[in-house]
Amino acid sequence: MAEKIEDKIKGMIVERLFLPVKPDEIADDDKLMEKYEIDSVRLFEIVIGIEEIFGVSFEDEEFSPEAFETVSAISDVVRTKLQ
Amino acid sequence: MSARRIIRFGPKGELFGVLHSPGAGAVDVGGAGLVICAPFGEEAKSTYRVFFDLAGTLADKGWIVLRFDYFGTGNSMGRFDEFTPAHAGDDVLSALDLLREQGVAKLGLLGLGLGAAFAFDAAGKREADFVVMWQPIVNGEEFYKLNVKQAIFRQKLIRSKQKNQPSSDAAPVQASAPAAGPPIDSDIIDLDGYPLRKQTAEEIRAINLLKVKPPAIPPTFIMQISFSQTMARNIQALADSCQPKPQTQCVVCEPFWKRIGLVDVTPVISATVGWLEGTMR
Repeated sequence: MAEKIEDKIKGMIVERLFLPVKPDEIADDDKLMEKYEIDSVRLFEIVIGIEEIFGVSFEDEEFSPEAFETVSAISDVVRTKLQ
Repeated sequence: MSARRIIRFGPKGELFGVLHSPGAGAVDVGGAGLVICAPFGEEAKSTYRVFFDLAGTLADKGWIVLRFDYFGTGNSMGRFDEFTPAHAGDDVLSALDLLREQGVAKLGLLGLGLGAAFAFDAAGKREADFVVMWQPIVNGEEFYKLNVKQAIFRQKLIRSKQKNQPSSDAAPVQASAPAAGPPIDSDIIDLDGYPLRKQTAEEIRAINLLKVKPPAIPPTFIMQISFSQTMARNIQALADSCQPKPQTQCVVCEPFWKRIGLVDVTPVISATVGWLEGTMR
């Protein structure tokens, strides 16, 4: 069975940011910056991770902090990009 | 216990450095020395303590180690907008000369990020006995674009926070958030808070280690420091382009040069010291 986009994103976040949690402990609607104390540099690492894993690219005007606020929001962006 | 002293060097004494020397009773390692080449901008701030610890560790083992600030950065003379890769390259050569004058017989370079690119370049110009490259910037264009992109992202984040905060909290954030990328004046680019001359930006973008072809590199250790145990394509390409082949290693460790808080860099230091000691045998 294909891995859900949300699960891929959670795995990537935990791995790249060295978070001391398991991927499935992250709820889809957890506010990443607040709950995991992610600063702007680390949030940008998530952006890069999304680009690498899903083969998408974000233009400057597409950067919206709201789009990277939660795993759910990121998944929506990825799905839109992949359409 | 090792000793350290502040030293001014360079053609006009314009460079600031800290020299770590072996203390009394240190092991004789035959006059081994190392010049540490810092990365760029914010990354240099985040690595300050790591390099301090590395220098102290090596000095305790009998090494002479120089940490220094490039012209226009840190405690060295000059304004930040006078920093250029070409000048930084000359600074590295001055640092090598300084350690040679200190009687170092076997001399090497260690750099991180852009500093690794400077070290690689310098090793091709002066006789260095070995080079250590931590997470080298192989392609300056990619590095520059990533920094510009990050600056834009960070500003959007600041503005977003500002919108969601009471107006009394928002004002100072707005005042300190100029637009990234576009020129502040006719010749200066704000790269995430660091003023760069356009020419400097062009020099950074022009860096491409795959096109630097020293006739033969000295023994070299290329370390990838990241979440991954798989070597990134560009770092592998760099290793493949070198003759003789450098030793490579992927060390799983947080990118401490991008972190404000403490990061355990023990695996990075251990692997590096182990390789250096092996090179000296």
